[in-house]
Amino acid sequence: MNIFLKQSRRKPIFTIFMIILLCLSLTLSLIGFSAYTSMQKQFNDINGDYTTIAVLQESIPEGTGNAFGENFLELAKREFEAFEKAQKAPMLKKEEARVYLTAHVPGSVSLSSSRIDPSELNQPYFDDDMYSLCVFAVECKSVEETVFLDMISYDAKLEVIEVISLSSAYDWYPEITEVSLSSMDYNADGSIPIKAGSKYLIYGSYGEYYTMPIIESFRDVESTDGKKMYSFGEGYMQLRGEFGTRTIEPAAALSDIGLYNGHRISGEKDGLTYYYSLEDQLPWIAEYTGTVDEFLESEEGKVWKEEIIPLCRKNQEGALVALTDNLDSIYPFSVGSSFILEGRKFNEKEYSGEKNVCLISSDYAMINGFEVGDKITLDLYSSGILWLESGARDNSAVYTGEQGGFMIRVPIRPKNSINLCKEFEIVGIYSTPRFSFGPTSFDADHIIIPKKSVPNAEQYLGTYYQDFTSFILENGTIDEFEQYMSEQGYPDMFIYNDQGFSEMEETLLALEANAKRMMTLGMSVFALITALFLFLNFRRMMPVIRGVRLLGKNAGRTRNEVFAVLFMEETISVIIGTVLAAVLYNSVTSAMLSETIALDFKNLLSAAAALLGILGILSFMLSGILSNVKLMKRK
Amino acid sequence: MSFSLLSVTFKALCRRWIASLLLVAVAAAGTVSAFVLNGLISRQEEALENTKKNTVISCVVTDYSGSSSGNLSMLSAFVEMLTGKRRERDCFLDDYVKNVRAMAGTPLLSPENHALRRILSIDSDPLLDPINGVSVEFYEGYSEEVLQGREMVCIVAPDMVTENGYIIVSPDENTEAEIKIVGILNGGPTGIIYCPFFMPFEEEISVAFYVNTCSFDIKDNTKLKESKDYIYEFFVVPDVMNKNDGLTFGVLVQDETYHKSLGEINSNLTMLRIMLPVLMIICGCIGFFAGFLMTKGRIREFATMRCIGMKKMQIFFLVIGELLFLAAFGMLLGGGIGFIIEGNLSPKAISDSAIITAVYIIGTAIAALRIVRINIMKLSNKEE
Repeated sequence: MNIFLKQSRRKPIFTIFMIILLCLSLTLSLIGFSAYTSMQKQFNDINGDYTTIAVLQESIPEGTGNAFGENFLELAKREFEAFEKAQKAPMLKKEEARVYLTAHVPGSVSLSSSRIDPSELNQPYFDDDMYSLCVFAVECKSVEETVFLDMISYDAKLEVIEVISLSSAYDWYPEITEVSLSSMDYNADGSIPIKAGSKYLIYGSYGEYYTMPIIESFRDVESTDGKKMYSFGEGYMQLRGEFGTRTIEPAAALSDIGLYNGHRISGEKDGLTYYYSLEDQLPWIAEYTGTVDEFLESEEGKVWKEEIIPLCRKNQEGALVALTDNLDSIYPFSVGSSFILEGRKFNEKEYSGEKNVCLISSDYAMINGFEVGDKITLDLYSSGILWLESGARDNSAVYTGEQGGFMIRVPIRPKNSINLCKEFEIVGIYSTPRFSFGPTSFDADHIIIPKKSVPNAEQYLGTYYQDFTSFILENGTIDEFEQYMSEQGYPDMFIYNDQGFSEMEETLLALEANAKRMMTLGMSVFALITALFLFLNFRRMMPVIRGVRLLGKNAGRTRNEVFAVLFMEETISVIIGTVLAAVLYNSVTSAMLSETIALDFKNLLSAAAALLGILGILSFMLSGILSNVKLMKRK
Repeated sequence: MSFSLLSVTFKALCRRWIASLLLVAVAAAGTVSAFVLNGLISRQEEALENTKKNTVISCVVTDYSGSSSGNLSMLSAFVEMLTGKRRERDCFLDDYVKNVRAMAGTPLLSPENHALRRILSIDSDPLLDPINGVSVEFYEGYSEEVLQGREMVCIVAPDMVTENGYIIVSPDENTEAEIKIVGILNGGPTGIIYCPFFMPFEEEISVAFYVNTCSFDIKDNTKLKESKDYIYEFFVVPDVMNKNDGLTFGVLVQDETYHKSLGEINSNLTMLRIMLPVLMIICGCIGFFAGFLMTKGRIREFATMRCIGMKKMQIFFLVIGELLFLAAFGMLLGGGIGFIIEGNLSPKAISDSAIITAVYIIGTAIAALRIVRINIMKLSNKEE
């Protein structure tokens, strides 16, 4: 029989009161702990609702006049260096770079600028070169060759026989009867590929933004050195190469920036330079006789019927796809100029790629009749995009002047397929300016999907990595970040937005402080009452311990017996205390219908087990020390 | 007699220093708890009020369906209503909104390839966002406020600055106006002349025009619901089912995060308010049992006192005196710690700590009463 147990049973009131005392302190501590975890969860939840971003400010002056000068090079280099320094900032939480892909959305219609009221923005570049791809059957009425410096080009007047493929965005236009063609694309031998009086199929990019409809010959080109290129009628447009990536010196790369001065295949005729396309490319022009249908059924027309026309349709049903890990890191969404109109943003599970979901703009939803909950199929392509830094000049009734950088949609091409075609559920519809300019523009033809929806999405980052990157900072660290950048020698290079976190910060700090106080209070009371519990117990047990030791019971056995009784009382206290804390806390919080402050029973049990462990260890240690009483030195 | 008794008591307290210290600590803990628990609520409430006051809730004017917030083609009368220029017509929207941002574009016949943009503030046009590297420099004597007036002034790109400081604009064949240049746009769009939103082309003649974009902030967040109700008397909640009559415009109040955050904090406050009395009761109970058990453990001491002739009430008051001393000391100590932690001495915290201490003393008193009421012979037996 454990004599200490007998002692406890002989003074039941004392024992019960001791258990109650410990139990109450445990209740207080566990409620404090539950409140602490709830407040922490609330803090994290609220904190997580705010995204603080730093975005590189445009420092290159607008206007093509400055675009390629020395000042431009210096500023671009400085931007690049500031970007690199920011990547190493200690308060940087995440570097979020939007990835752009292109998608064929079968059965949809694209949000072409031509589809929208042209008085708002009839900006031809928004349609080029994706939504405006077309195939016309024409008869050439006249051809005129022009010499400019040492280069030759030609203009042709064409009568439209049949519009074979053109986006429905142009349906409301007056009937197209005549188009003009301006091109520098010659045959390899230097002859003009079109002559008056003949009939042709022409594959190109259509625009009605000048007084005369114009068709720019389009050819899908792959350069010999592997760089991405495509023909633009007036010459070859080269993507900006490596500029903006971090692998080379920007100054060296800048020499390669010319948008219209990239790789050309040139020939010479009578001392004049002409350009021609590489072989094995899709043809952009084909002469035919008879009817269009007969030509399309012929061997020569096969490529038009099976490749070019379906490719045009794909582009007319195209959309840009923006991949992100954090919608709020996109500047317009951060500052509120773009916002969710219906539905919701992505949740964490969706960001992790568990579900295929997307956000579409209200304009895109309207023209396609899409609603939240609908599913759309996205066949994804890594076509790339083209970013023009400046020089955009629209001809709408409202806007004029140079507006800043803007994005050109590069056409979908079969070879750029990333072999990923799946259904995405529309979970939200956002509102954004339909067409916008500037480095942070975000147009309404963008379908937004979580980055994780596409395996290894980062590989498609492209050359405009810097333009589409937001630095996500720890909330409340804007000043620290700016100071860090100043110390690195790059002050005032970034623009910040914290979505109103600074106004909410005081409340959050109070919440955090309260959570800590609750926890500290609970733990302090627990520590004090544990001391009291052990003090009172040992004060009562000490004479008995001494007695049994004098009677010859060894210290180890005495320790075990004392510990057994104490641990039993502690276990009972912890069980009752935990139940009491759970019942009290739950009854208080369950009425509030808030998930974040609801009782987390698992956490509570873990805390209770930890407290029991602490109590057990302390009791065991003290039992050992006090059982080892020096019998000869103590009365 | 009483002095020697106090002296003995004090000596006893010192001799039992661990027990005395623990009792002081229990009393102090009760007081600190009262201070901390009261501080939790007041701190949270104060921070919440400040947040409500300081948070900016933006509202964006959209078309009837909410699908577009640009190129609204909204009559400028709506902006007049928002800026308090229609109060005489019983429209008091300016009582509920502030920081109205609006932009209207007008094509110009002259200068060629230029446009006039009416703005209420620099941030009315996204193109003037600092993210685009734009900075505006006003000439001496002028500031951004000029954009809210009707003066015939403008801001232009540096290459448009004329020698006489004026620029002649012509929106149509019949109108020509000379506008004074009062500021320069550095790094901004070229070909755009920015002028005050309500600027007339001829003095004393007000003109109506179409507005491209408009947004504003809620003036007083504590009256958010009232503000929204009033705003929606003139605008609508964007919905595709709304009537598209060219005069119906939506307002999207961007208060989702604000409401969510406030909801969380309010639920936290409610929890604290309900939890506070529960925690106070627990603290009181802890004090009660601590006092009771500490006193009950001194039964041998009381038996000796009774044996040397002390009366029951004498012992009772001696114990209460001891406890009052320790409790007062603990309360002072706890009050000091509480003041250091919380930075103030709220009357509620003081009264709560007094209640907790009183409960603690009651526990002691009950224990003392129980002991002193026991027969002297029983006390002796217990001792044996």
